Amino acid sequence: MNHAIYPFRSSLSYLRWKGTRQLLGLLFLISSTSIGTGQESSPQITPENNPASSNPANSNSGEFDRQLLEEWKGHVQPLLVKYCVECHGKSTAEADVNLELYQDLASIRKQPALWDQVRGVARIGAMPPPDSPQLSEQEKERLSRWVEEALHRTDCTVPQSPGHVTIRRLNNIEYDNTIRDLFALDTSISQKIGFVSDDVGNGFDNQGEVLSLNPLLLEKYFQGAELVANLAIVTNRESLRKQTKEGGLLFADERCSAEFDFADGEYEISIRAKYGEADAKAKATILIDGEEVKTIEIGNKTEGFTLERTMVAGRHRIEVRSDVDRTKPPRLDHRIEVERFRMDGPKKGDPAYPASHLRVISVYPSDSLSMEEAAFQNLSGILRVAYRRPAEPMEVAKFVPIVMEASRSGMSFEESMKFGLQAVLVSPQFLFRIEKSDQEEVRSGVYRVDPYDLATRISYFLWSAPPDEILLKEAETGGLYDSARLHRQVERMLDDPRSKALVQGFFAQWLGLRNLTTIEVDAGQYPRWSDRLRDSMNKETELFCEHLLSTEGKISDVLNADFTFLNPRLAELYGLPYEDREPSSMYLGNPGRPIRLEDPRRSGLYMNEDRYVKASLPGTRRGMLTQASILTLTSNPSRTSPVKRGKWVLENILGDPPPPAPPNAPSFEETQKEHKQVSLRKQLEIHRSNPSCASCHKMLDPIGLGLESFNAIGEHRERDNGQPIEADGELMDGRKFSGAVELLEALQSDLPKISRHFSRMMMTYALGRGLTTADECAIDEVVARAKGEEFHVRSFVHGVISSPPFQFHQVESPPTEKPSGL
Amino acid sequence: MTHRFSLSRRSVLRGLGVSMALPMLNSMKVEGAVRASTALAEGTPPVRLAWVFFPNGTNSRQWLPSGEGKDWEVTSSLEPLQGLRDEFLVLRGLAQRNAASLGDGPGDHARSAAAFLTGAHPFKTAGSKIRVGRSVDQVAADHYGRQTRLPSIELGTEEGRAAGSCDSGYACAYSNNISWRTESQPMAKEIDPRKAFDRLFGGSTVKDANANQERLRLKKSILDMVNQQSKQLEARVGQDDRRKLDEYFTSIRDIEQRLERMTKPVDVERYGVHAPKEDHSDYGDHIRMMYDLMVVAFQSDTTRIATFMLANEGSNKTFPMIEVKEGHHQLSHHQEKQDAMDKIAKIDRYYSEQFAYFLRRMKETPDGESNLLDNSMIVYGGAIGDGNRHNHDDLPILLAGGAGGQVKPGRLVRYDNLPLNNLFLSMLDVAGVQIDRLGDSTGMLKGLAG
Repeated sequence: MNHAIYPFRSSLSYLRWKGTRQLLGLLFLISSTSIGTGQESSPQITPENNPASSNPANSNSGEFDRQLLEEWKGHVQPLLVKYCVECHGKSTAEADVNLELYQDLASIRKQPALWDQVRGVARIGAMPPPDSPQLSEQEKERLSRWVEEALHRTDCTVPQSPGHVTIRRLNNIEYDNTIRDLFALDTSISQKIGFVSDDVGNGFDNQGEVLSLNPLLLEKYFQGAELVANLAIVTNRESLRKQTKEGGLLFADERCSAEFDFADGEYEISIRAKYGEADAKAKATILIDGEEVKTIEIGNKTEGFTLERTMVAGRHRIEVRSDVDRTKPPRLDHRIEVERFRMDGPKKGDPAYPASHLRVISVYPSDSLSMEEAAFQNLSGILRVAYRRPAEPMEVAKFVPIVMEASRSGMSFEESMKFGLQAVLVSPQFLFRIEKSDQEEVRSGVYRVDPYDLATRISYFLWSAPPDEILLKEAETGGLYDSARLHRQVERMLDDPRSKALVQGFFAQWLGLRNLTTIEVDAGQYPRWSDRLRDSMNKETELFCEHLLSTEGKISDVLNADFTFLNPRLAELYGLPYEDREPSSMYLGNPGRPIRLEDPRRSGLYMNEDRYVKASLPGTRRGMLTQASILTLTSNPSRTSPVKRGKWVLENILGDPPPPAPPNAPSFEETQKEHKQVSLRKQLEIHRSNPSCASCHKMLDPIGLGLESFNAIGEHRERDNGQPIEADGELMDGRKFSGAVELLEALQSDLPKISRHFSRMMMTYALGRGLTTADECAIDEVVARAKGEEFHVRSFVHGVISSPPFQFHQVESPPTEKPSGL
Repeated sequence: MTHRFSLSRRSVLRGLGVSMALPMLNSMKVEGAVRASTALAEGTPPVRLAWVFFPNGTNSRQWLPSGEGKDWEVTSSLEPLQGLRDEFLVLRGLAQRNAASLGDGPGDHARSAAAFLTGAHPFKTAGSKIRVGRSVDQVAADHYGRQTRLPSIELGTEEGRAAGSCDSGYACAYSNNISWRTESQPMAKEIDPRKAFDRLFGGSTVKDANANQERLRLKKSILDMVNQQSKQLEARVGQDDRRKLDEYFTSIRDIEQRLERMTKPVDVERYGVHAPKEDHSDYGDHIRMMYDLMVVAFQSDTTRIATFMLANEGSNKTFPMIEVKEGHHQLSHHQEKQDAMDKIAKIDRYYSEQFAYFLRRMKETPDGESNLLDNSMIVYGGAIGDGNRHNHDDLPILLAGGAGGQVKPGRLVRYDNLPLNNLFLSMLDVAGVQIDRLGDSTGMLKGLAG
C-alpha cells in the first residue's frame, strides 16, 4: 500500500467506501495503477465496484443528510418559526418568500438562490428588520452554517462523482500556443485572422460549456488553417537564402536579437543601424549565440555592418548589445536604432528549411516512396502532435486523399501537403479536446482519465498549450499514473517559461486583471495616466503572480508581501527610488519635445522602461491589493469607488460576496440624491445608517474605505477633494484597522477562506467546468494539503492535479434522444 | 494549368476563398446609382430586416417622444433624426418582460441583451447550461435567409469582456450577444469592419470566382471529410458533448451551403465598393463603417438580415468626442443628477446621429423602383428603458422603413404594455415568415400599416 503517496491520497479518499467487495476493487485499482506501464495501468472499474456510477452524487449521503435533517428539525426550523415566518410564512409571504413551504432537504436544495439569500441576510443581520426581535450571534452562526452545509457541502466519507467535463474547444490563447508549439511559429493566428473573442463562464474563458462554435468562428478556423499552412510550409526553397528580421531601439546595455535557421556553410551576417545623437558615435557588440564576435562603432547615419562566418547547421541567435556610454545623461537620442538583421547564405548548397517546414514535411515522394506513402508518413507525424496522442493508421489515412486530390490538380507536393495540413487543423479532434472513452468504460460510469488525456489536461492547465515531447513520453510509459513522477513533471512544467500562460490565463482572470486593458480612465483628472502606465501596472501584477508561482510563493503573499516589481514609471507613481535613482530623472519624454518634469504627464518613455526590478514597498503598501493595477481596475474613470473595491476583495479574494440587496433597500443612488453636498464617505455613512442597507455595506465599505488612501490610478494620497482621507474601519466581526496596511493585516486571519476560494477558482480553471457540491470534498483536500505545506501556491497546483475530479472522469448519462441540432 | 492554383499571397480558402486586391479608401463608399443586382430588378425587392441595439437604456425624459399618430414632436435626443421623421415609427408601450429579474436577482444588463431579440428569460448561470431562446433574426434567417449568400450578418463594435462574469453571475455570452442561433448558441458578432467586409464580399468578384473553382472543390473535400469525422465521434459521446459537436456540424453545414450559393458570384465592384480602412479606432468611424457595410450587404442582396450591437450591454465606454469622460454604464445610474442625466442624453443623441446617417444612406440607395429604406424594417432600440431605473417596459423603440409599403412610417403608435416580441412576430409576417409564436409574443402588433 505504500504506493498511495499523495496524488493517490485523494483518489483513495474518493474511493473510500465500506464492504469487502469494494475493498477488493480498491486493492485491484491500486495494484493496477502502480504497475504504471501504459495502457494496462488504466484501472478497470466495473459497475459493481464503483458506487459513484450507480449512485450519482449526494444520494449516498444518507448519514450526512440524516444529521442535517435532525438539526433542521431540532434547531434550524424553530429559528425560522421564531424570527421569520411571521412575515415570510404562508399567511403573508412578504416579498413572495414563504419559508413554511420548506419541510425537507430536497425542497430546500431545489431553491439554492433563495436559501443563499436567507443565509446571507441572516448572517449579516439584514433580516429580521430592526424593529423585530433579532437573532443572537450564535443563532446567526447556526442558521448560516446549516444552510451552507445543506446547500454546498456533501458527505465526503462516501465516494463522490468526479464530474463530467464537456469537451472543450481550444480557446484563442490555447489555439495560438498550440500552433506555436506544433510548428515553431511565433505568430498570433487568432489576432491576425481576428478570431471571435471567447465567451467567459464561471469567471474563465476556458469553460467547455461556454466555448461555443458557430459558423463565423469555423470560417475563421479555415482561414487560420490556411495561414498556418502558408507560414509553416516553404514552397520556394531559394527564397530562404536571404532573410531579414526586425531590430530594436537600444539604450546603454540593452540588447536585441533575431534567430535564423542555418545550414552548414559560409554566411554573410549583417545589421543595419544608426546612433541617435547628432555628430556622435556609439559602440556596440555583435554576438552569435551569446558569444562576442565583433565590436562596431555606429554613427548618426544608418549604415550596414557585415561579417562573414562559417555556420554549423541549426538555429542560431544573432544579437546586438548597445555599449553606449552609460554615464551619459538619459536622453531619447542616446540610443542605437537597429533597423534590421540580415543573413545571406549559404554560399554553396541549399539553404536550411525552418523548423516549421521540417515538422510538417519530413519525407518526400521518391522512386522508392509513393506520394501516398510520403503523405501518410508526414501526416502521421503531424497528427501525433495535433491530436496530442498517437493517431490510428485509419485516422491518418483519411487525410491522404485530400493531398492526392490537390496533387492531381497540378500542385507540387509541398503545396498539396498544405491542404492536408489545413484539413488537420479544422478537424474536430484538433479543435476540441475530446477525451478517450471506450464502450466498456461508458457502461461503468467512472473511469480514470487516459494517460494521454491526462497529459493534455495538465499541459493546457499549466501552459495553455499542448503536451511537449517529454510529457507525451511520460504518458506513453505510464509515468503520469506514478505520483512521484507526476510530481516531478508538474514541477518541471511550472519552472518552464510556458507556465507564464498560467499567470495570464488563471491569475489574470481570477483577479480580473484582463479588464485593465479596456478600463477607461479620465486622463484630464489623472495626468499621469497613459497606455504605458496601464501596461506597467499590468506587468507589475503579472510579475508578482510569477513570484507566487515560484517555489517561494505563498498565498499569504497576496496580503503581506513587502516587495513588488517596478519599472521607473511605476517607481515614480509609488514615490520610490528605482535602484537608488530618482525615477523622474530617468524620464526621456516624447521625441522632439523638451522634457518639463513639473508637468505631471508621462506619456513618453523612461530609460529602462521595460526593466522591472524587485523593490521594497513603502510602509503604506503591502501585497497585491495595494498594487496600482488592482486599485485602478476597481475605480470609476474619474473617481475611486470604495464599494467596487470592497466588492472586489470580497468576491475575488475572500470568495464571499455580499447577498443581493433585500427588495426594500433603497439604492445608494437614492441616498446620494438626498444628500448631494457631502463627501462620498459621508454619503456612504448616511446610506448605511438605513438598516436595510447597513447590513451589506457593513461588509463592503470598510474594506473599500481602508483603501481610500489610494486614488483611482493607485497613487498614494493624503486628501480627497481637500478633505483628509480617513481610512479607519471595522470589519463585520469587529476587527478594527486604520489604513490599508492594517486592513491587510486584519485580513490575515481569513487565510483559510482565501485559500478555499483560491482552490475553487483554480479547480474551475483546471477542469474547465463549474464546480458542484461533490467537488467540495476535493477542495477540502486541496486546502488541507496546502495548509500542510505552508500555503505554498505550488501546493495548490499539485493538489488540484492530484484531485479525483482532475484524474477521473464521470461519463455523462447516455443521451435519451438525439437533439435536433437547431 | 498550374498557374491557376499557385497560391496567391492572400488566402484562397479565406472566407469565400479569395484574394481581393481592393484599394483602401477612407471609408467604404458606394458610388453612383447602380441598380441593385439583376436578381432583384426582375421582381419585387425583398424586405430587409435589421435590428440595431444600444446598451444601458436612455435618459428617457429626453428620448421618448410624446403625442400620438402624426401629432408628435421629435425630442432632443432624437433631434438628429428630425429630417427623417417621416421615415420611422415611434413605438411606445412595448415591453421585454423577460429581461426583468423574475426572481433571479440582479443582472438586468445581461438579461436585457439576452431577452432583446428572443423574448425569453435567460437561465441564470455563470457557465454551464447557457440557455435563452432563439432570436427573431435567426428565425427569419432560417426561413428567409437561405436565398442569399449569407443568411444573416451579426455586427458589433466591442469585444467580449476579458475577465470575470459580465453581470451579477450571468455568463458573458448573455451581455455580448443579441443574436441566438439556438437557445444555447449565440451567433458571434464581427467587430472588425475590414474582416466583416471580407466575410461579406470576399471572393465575390467574377474574376476571383473563376480562378478558384479548384480551391473551392478542395475546400468541399475537406468539409466532407471533417464532417464524416465528427459524425463518427458523435456516436461515442454523451448529451452535452454531443451538443458541442452539433455546433460543429451545424457550422460545417452552414459553410457548405454558402459554398453552394457562391457559385453565382456577386460583383461588388460594380457598386464601387471598397474594403474599409484598417483603422477603426475612432468610435464614430467604426459605427459608420458598420452601417455602410449593412447598406452594401442589403444593396447587393448578400444578406437580407442584419443585427448590430452598437456596444455590449453594460458597456462602460467613454465618449471623449462629445466631452463625456465618464463611462456610459457608470453614468446610466444617473441618480437623477442633472449632470449625469445630461451626459446620458448626449450619448443618446450621439447614437441618434449615427443612426440618422444609416437611414440617410439607406434612403439614398436605390432599390427596385424605390430605395432600400422603403423596402426595409429596421428596429432601433434596447431592452432597458431608463438606465437608472432598469425598467423593461415602455422601451425606447423605433421602427424605420416602409417594408415595401406594408408599414406606414412617420407616426407615434401607443400600446398598452405589449410584448416587444409582438412587433417581431409582425415583422416576420411582413417578410413572409408565418409562425404562431416567438418567445413571449401574444399576437401580431396592430397599427404598423396605419
